[in-house]
Formats: sequence, structure tokens, C-alpha cells
Amino acid sequence: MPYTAISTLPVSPSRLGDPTNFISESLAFLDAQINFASNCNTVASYFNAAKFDPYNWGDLSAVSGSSPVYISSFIAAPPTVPPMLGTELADSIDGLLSSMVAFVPDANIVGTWIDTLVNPSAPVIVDPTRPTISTVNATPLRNDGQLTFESKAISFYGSARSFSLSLQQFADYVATFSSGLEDWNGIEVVYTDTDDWGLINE
Amino acid sequence: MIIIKPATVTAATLTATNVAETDYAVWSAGTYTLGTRRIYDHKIYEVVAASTTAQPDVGAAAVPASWLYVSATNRFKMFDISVGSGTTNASSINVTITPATVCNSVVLFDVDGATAQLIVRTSGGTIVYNQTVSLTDYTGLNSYFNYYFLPIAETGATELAFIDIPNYSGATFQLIISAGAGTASCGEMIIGQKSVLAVTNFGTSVGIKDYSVKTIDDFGNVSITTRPYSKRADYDVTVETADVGQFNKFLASIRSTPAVYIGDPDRGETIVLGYYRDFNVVLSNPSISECSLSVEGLI
Repeated sequence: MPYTAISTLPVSPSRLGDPTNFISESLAFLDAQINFASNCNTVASYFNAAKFDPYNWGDLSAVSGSSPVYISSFIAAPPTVPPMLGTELADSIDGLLSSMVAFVPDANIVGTWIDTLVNPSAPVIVDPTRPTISTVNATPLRNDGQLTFESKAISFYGSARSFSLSLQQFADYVATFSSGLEDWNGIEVVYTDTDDWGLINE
Repeated sequence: MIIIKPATVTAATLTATNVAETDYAVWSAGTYTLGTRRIYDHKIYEVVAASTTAQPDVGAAAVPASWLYVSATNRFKMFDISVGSGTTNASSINVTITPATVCNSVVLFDVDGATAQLIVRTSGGTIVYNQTVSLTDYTGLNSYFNYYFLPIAETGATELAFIDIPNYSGATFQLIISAGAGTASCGEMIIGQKSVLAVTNFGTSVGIKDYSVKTIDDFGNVSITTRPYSKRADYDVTVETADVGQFNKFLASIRSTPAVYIGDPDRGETIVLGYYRDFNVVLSNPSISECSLSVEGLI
């Protein structure tokens, strides 16, 4: 299964900057977050289970051109409510949603690059230092009650930021892995290839 | 507590405005029939007699009256100190006032737009005060849920007080209410000299008086006619006992006079334009005295 790109989010709403269009834009964004969370979790599942060829270690050709690529627009830290209230809170959430829109293309560039190094036929490598891409929690929905909406929003935006950070950590790991800087200590290569008699090939 | 006694704004002191005065034709001598409206002295009058040749202000004072005062013109509604009337203008309201007396405070009521900017210039043209305030009030936004679902309409500030203006004789006050592509409006603009008289305490109560009418017909159908409302407040204030005499004299001097009462400039709900109904001072002890002050709002 190839890398599945995260769908582009709609225009981020802005209570402070564009109150005229806020209602329609915010509801559209709220609905789009459902697909965003699903896309992110697909990416996390795919890369967390992905295998990389250990024989490429030290092969700098895998890291060519502008690669490894970096995420420059991470999802902003969600505000803590309270103490943040009023205009400050509106401004902070405006910024948070805007950062999600900017994050998507960055994430897709990084994800596509990581995908070029995925090798499904490579052996399983047990590496305790390999980072895990975190998943994104359920999004708040327009028909949620106020308390449910609030708790889901806090959980969702926090996990979305964690996802953006962990994706970059994973990209860093893959870049280091591919450029041969990985520390071999603690890494165990598990060969899964067997011969016709069921013996493991080494 | 701050009390501002309004300075009167007339055609002479309103030195510039971008609000046209074209509500109706200007009155000129002639014969006018029932229902005709004309502007006279920046006020709108309507003929209530079969026909009249009287000057509107004279006809309105006559018995029986031939003219009826309707309202101030749109240009002057923001200075008329009355319930439910305000100046509106597409995109912005830009007015310049040169009061005859020294003023150090400007308060806006029922203001609507994106921003309000007040620029104060000395008689020589030097800018000594320039402040722009957003008219969006987000104090009710306290959760992610409210971010998404709090109606935009509930985030507008309706009262705004500029009370830190330096004192200059002959200064001009330019107010610019910007509304972008929308309509700017201002229910009332009060300009005057502030008096800081007491400390407002928690325990002050505020509310509104609604003039809407509910009628029930013979079949039990209810209809509601929405009308303006005015604010009211019962201030709980503390006065230094040594100043009680002066406090009493000042309040007595503004009896039956509309004034702006400000409990806390940062709390718009405690800003009321109106008359005080009564006040009562209790000489609690030698240092401070407690006072209750009831104000009936006009707006």
C-alpha cells in the first residue's frame, strides 16, 4: 500500500480576521477535521508498520537533492482554556487552525519522501530507538454537546500537534537510518525469509 | 465612579462630518399640507394640520400644533441624547467636534462597526491623543465550543469610553467609526468633562428597561412590537467621608440633567447615560461613607 496523502483542509476560519465568513468556514473546517484525523491515522499506521532495507544503511544516494525534507509548519500548540480567554483565545485558535492548513502540504512532502525508502520486502528490524508516529484522537463534531465537544477538542488538537511532531521525528530517524549514522547497538535484524524446508535463511 | 456632564453639540461645534443631512428637504417659507416632513434647525418636523404656513418650531409649540417634532436628522441623532435614535452611515462615520468648553472624555453608546478611532488635536493642530479601539468584544469567548458556536452578533461592544484624554482648551475631537463594507452606526456620542467622585463596589446592579409591547388580540394571539430599551443601574459606591459634602453638591447640581455614569470603564454594562433617580449616603465612619445611587438610563 503506497503512502496515502492527507487531504487538503479548507480555508481556515478566522473569528478575528474574517468574522463575516466565519460561520460557514468554521463549520466546513469542523467537518473536514474528521477526514483529516482519519488520514493522519492512516499515515501513522502505514509508517509505523513500514520496513526499511538495512542494506541501504550508509547509502547516501537515498538522501539526495533536497532530501531529507523537513516540516516547517507544525501544528501549533493548542491553547489551554482557561487561563486563555477572550480575544487572546480567539486569536490562538485562529492560529491553530491556520497552522493545520499549512501543515498538510509539508506532511505530504515528508510522507512522500519517507515512502520512497519503504521496502516491504525488507526484513523486520527490531529497533528500540525507532520512533512511533502518534495517532490523532477523535474530532469534535458539530452535533456534540458542549462538554463532549470541549473534551474532544482538547484531546484532538493536542494529539494533532503530537502527530505533526512525531512525523518529523520519524522522518529524522529514516534520514539518519538511510545515511548510515544509525547506532547498531540494540538493533536486531530478524530475517523472515525461509527456504523450501522451512529453515530461516541467514 | 466617574460622572461626565455632557457638553452640548450644535451645528456650530460640529465642525466637520461625513454624514449627509438629506433626510428631507430643508424647510423654507410656504404652505405645507398634512404629512409633509421638513428639516428645520437640524430637526425633522411633520405637518399635523390640514395645511400650515407656520415655521416648524413655532408650529410645534402652538396650540393646536401644526407641526410635530419627529427626531433629529440622521447627522445629529448621535448627539440628541434620546432613546432609540442613532446616526448611521455607509462604511464610516467621521465627525469632528470643537467643543466650547474643555473636555477630557468621550463616551459612545450603541456603537456598531469594526473600529472606533478618536483623535484629539490642539487648537494648533498637534495630535495629543490618538487611540483606536476594536469594537469586537470577545469576553464571552471562553472555550473551544464558544469559538465555533458563539454567535458573531453577540461579540459587538456597545459602549465605549475614552476617559484618559488630556485637557486642552480649544481642542478638536475627531471620531472615526469604521465599518468596512458595512454600515457604521452610533447611538449617542457624549463629550464632556469627567468628575471622579467615588469608588464603585461589587454589589452594583445593572439591567435594562425594555419598551417593547406585547399585545394579545381577542383570539389569544400574541404579537410583540419590538421597541428600544434603556439601561438602568444601582451603583454601590464608597466616598471618603470628608468628600461627602462635595459629592452631595455635585449630584444636586446635575439633578434632572442627563449625564454619563461610569462604574468601571472596562465594564461596558456599568456605563449608563441617564438621570439619577435618587441617591443615599450613609456616613458609615469617619474615613469612608457608603452611598447608593440609582440611575435611569436614556439609552
